[in-house]
Amino acid sequence: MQTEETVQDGVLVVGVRVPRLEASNAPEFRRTLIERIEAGHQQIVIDLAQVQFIDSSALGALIGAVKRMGALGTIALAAPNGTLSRLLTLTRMDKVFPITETVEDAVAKLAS
Amino acid sequence: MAGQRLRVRRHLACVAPAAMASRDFARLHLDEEGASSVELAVAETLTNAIKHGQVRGRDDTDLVLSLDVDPEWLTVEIFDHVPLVPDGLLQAAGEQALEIDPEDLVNLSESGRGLALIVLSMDEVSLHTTPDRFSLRMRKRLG
Repeated sequence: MQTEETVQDGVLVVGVRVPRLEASNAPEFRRTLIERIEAGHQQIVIDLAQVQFIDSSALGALIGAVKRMGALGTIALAAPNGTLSRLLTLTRMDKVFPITETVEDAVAKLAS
Repeated sequence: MAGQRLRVRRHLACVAPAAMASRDFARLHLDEEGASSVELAVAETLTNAIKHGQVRGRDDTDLVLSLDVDPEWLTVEIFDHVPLVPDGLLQAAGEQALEIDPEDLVNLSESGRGLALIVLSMDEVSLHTTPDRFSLRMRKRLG
């Protein structure tokens, strides 16, 4: 799955560069995130700016990652569009992940 | 506009094109949010059918997706030769199925939200049975 990764102020930013996170690529997405956690990244921002669609399988991948992270660190979701924001709220993911309007806001929150 | 009928191969990679076609059809009659809801409901239903179909080893037949509209309703129906949702689960699906305890990450489930999302995305969801097939009918009120 296409991602773009940068480290900003010690925070790993994983930019998702596919328009859809769904059952066909959710296992790979989950694996990517867990590999980064196991590599020692404890502050991770997932940049969703280019994602137009998320289904329940992709939510499951995010939950798998946050469970793997546990108390070690934080995973934040940044820049979801309106449809994604509604879904994240409906499924209570806003109670599990910090969600910010921009990547910069998420990095600032996790770096502080 | 006339309705559409699509055959969908029982493969996860075939879900997105069908879901996007549903969204495009819905967007002719609904606002952006309504069309996105239809797209999600179709994607969740097809994914569920394909995943369970593979478990039961029946991946040889296509699913059928129909899209129709009348002055009051946009109707999406997905047909399979086995029930698309197990008995009783549809009635139990709803917002309460999405409740979580954010303090209890260990027990936070990674799965099991699809049916609730289908029910909450649409205005009416019902299961139908004919002698040779089953369907999940999902309707969105227009206007």
